[in-house]
Amino acid sequence: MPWIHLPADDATPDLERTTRRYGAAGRPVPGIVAVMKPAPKTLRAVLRMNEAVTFGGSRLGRRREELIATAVSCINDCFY
Amino acid sequence: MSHAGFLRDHWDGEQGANERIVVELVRALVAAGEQAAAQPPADAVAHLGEVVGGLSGLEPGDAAVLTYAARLTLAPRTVRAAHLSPLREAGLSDDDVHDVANVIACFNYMNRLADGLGVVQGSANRAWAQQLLGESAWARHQAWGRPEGASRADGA
Repeated sequence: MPWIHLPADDATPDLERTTRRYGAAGRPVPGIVAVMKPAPKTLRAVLRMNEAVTFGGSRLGRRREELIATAVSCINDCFY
Repeated sequence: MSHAGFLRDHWDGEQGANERIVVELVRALVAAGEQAAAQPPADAVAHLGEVVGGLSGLEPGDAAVLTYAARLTLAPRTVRAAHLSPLREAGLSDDDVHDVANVIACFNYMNRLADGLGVVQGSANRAWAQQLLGESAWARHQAWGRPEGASRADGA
């Protein structure tokens, strides 16, 4: 659990709509996504940014995006 | 961990797994981060550039992208226009360079959020993380994530 209180995935209709994609895929809301639940508006904006910048959304292709993600996270000593 | 796992499984496309290169790369990157905590970050970036330049199995342009990512992450105040030259020499367009900077910025944002609020890596990637970084690094990460947890670097 992170160091702050997080609302339930279905605490509000807004949050339920935003997080239902994970339940529909049969997996829990990832920790890095869940930690943004206190600010649903920000959460939605970041998810849209991630779709545009990662998961093959940039012009670099998925492999190079993941190469950069690995580099940044390892250098930062961040397990994510 | 999940990003390194994707790389391991898709290094050369859908069927091109390459665990060896990803393990070597991750360990070099982690070492660069540790060096940057103990010496001028720009020196750690320069050393990492030499290391990745000598890794076999990288695609053309990978070393330039990795070195730029390291500089923008570890030593952003040292970035100059000249640091884009290796990217261009590797064939990246200005649009590509923009996207490289954007992806670097995006993941630094996500890292700060995770580190600032105590997001701990789940058990799904435990075996892979232990293989990459060792049991002690995994244990330190779990201890750090506890509400009154230890520093990630203090060996607790």
